[in-house]
Amino acid sequence: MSSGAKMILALIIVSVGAGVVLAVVYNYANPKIEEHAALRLADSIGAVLPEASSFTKLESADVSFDPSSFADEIYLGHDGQGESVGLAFVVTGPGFQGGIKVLIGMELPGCTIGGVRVLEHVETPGLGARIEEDWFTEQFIGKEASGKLDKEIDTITGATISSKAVTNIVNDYVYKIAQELIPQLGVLERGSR
Amino acid sequence: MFADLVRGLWKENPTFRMMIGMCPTLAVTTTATNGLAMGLSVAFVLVCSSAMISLLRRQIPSEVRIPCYIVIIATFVTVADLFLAAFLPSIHRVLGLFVPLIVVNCIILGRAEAFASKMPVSRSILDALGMGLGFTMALVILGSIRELLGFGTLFGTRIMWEGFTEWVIMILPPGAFFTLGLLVGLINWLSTNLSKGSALRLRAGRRAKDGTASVHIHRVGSGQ
Amino acid sequence: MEQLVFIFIGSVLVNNFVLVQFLGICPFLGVSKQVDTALGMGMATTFVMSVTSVVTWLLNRYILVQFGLPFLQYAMFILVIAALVQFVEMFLHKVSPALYRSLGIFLPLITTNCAILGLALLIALREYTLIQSIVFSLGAGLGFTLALVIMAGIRQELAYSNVPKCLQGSGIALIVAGLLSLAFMGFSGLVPV
Repeated sequence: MSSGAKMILALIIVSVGAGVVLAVVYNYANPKIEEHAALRLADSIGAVLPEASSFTKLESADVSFDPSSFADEIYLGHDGQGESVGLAFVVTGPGFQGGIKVLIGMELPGCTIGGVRVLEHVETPGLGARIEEDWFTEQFIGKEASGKLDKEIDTITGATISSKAVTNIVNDYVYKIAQELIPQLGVLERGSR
Repeated sequence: MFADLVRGLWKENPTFRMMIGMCPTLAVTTTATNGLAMGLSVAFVLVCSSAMISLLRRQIPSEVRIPCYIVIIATFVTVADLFLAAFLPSIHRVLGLFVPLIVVNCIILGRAEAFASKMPVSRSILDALGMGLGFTMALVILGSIRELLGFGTLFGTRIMWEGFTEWVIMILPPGAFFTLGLLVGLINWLSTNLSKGSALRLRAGRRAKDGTASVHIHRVGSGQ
Repeated sequence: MEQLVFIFIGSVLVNNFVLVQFLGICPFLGVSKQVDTALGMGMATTFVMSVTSVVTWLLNRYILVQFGLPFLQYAMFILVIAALVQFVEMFLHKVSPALYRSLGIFLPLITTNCAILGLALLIALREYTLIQSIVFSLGAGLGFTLALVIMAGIRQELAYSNVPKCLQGSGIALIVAGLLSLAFMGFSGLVPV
């Protein structure tokens, strides 16, 4: 066999072998990975919408508007009887060191905040990272979509910018969704589910 | 044989002596646990790729060896990444981008080139194991220091006393650079002085033997 | 447009690849002894980064995502990078043999520069558009070059100082890097990321 053919053959065998190994491992691991992600999501939504026992994701096919224009992901929470109890939405906003991903639960029909959870952030450990702490996020529970949350939420000492960032994110998105999305949601309710 | 294993632990420690594979070393050593996880992942990829490359060393033509090595290494890295994501998701999230970056970790390609492509499988595995353990050791040391001073904990358990104010800087990028720099300096100093000590003892022994009274003022070997 | 400016400034200063994200440390420590070598390396890396970002973006979008092969991402990306570096080497050899010679061994080492692979992965992770990817990679390259050149300038001066024996070489370089990183922390919050 010429050396050129030998080179190509070696490359092909190694590549195909690698591809096969990866495909097999992927098929084995992927279900578990998705399972973890689903569990995390259910856990988080349960934390911000305590009354919801199940939830469905809002896709643009199901509703009259485009969910992605409001948030990264929107979920409709239902209680045991299938009634809608609230919305949970994942939004991203600018923080001090980078983007902050927040999950906000909004209870219906009052548009009050059911809970807030910081999902991802790159804030300073020990300082800005304290936005994860319960006492800070619990302040949001029960607040209305007034658009003036910055006056009602205490910031964290030594982490003014990070905590203000979260407050602004929650404030802006809750206000916007209460004003613009909820009215459109009425259409969804009457339709099916 | 045993020498193959021990080499990577001290004399040719990838982090402190050869100064390779620096990126994950600085990035993920915010806690000792993270350092341990990254070190073991690299060790896993190192051992598997070295073994595979050594096994195939006579089959792969020299001209295409680098692309072949890269594919093999990338495969094992993807396997490690998928494994972590499936079974240790919280660690996977912390290590983040640096798991796939193991693909370009100079340690692995370097060992493949320098050793695994020329040596039998058993020796390659020992060499890889030594390097991997040496790397893990370095990462755990670095991670422990940063965690202890930056969080006050070690492997998650609180060690420092109650009133201790955490040195947050240790967890941030500058802390990583400072700690590693000082550690490298310390290790250099240690290895210079350890060899100085043994050479001095040797010299004293020789003087006693030939009984001369002359004083030797002699600067003993410089390390770096 | 504003978004693009933020991405650019973000990758040059706020999230500098070397001093904040720890990507590209090996060449940073290895090639930063002389300012002109550092500059040459930085520019070569920037060039490779820009081309890589485009090729891997296209690869990711039209092949990996299209055919559902996420597990092949790492292998394909690194092969593309290796091939591109080969081309750049040949290109430089023809166009500027002087630069080719002065960069010497460092050119093939760009393949193992984690900054390049890191760049490709970050772009895929953050789901940037093609334009955003190009701007991001230019910023990353510039930031990398900046860090390298500053470091080289300092190290050139450092050669005349009394550095303790044990810290000479890598030790003091790391400490200087720490100080630079500390300085760059001042850029936090400069742009909303």
